[in-house]
Amino acid sequence: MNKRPRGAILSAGLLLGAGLGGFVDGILFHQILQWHNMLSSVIPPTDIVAIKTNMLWDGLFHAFTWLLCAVGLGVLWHAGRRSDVPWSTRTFVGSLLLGWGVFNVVEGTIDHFIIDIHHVHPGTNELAWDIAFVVFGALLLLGGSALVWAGRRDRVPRGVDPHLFGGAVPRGA
Amino acid sequence: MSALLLACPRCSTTDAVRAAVFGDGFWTTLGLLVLPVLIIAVLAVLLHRIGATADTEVGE
Repeated sequence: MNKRPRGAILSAGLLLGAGLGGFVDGILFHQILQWHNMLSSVIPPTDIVAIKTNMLWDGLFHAFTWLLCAVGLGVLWHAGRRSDVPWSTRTFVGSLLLGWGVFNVVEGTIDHFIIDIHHVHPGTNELAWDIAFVVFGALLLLGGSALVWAGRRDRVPRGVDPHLFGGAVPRGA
Repeated sequence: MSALLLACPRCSTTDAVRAAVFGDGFWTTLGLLVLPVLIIAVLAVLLHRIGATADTEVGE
């Protein structure tokens, strides 16, 4: 039985999802809501030097999330040039959700619970917020896994309209 | 201190910030910051390899 490799599109989606998930964290929680900064539990932003120090670490964090997106885009571009990779929306969107979920679970566990450099919403209920962040990540992992599973039989490569061929691969594709 | 001085690219405030960030403990903190990214990168590589033998069938 022949198989169509999905690894390239899964990997691209994971990297892009993790990078975009990191941007959600940085843009929403660090900048718009101003709930925390990268090192706000270690260097509380109480004066201008401490605020700008956290701002610089936030910038380094964003640099790495940007890098995840850039590499993910490269992997996706490479996958799109291959005729053996099924161009499945369900697989790609599912892997984006997987990436966002992995980011929340991994970053949330390490930064909030293990090394304790910041909390989602510092204060009296910070533990509940930190747990909710990881639980939301776990839900994204479940949803992403379901979509990736549903897309396992998608087999049309890029550039082919699946409605024209009823999902079948045309000769030569 | 004026607002202009606080926003300056090269002044005592930014010097203090750079000294605080790039001084002792910079590489340790950077390593901790990069750790989640490295874990995600390893997962992406594994997924790329495992997914190469996914169960998407051809020519059923």
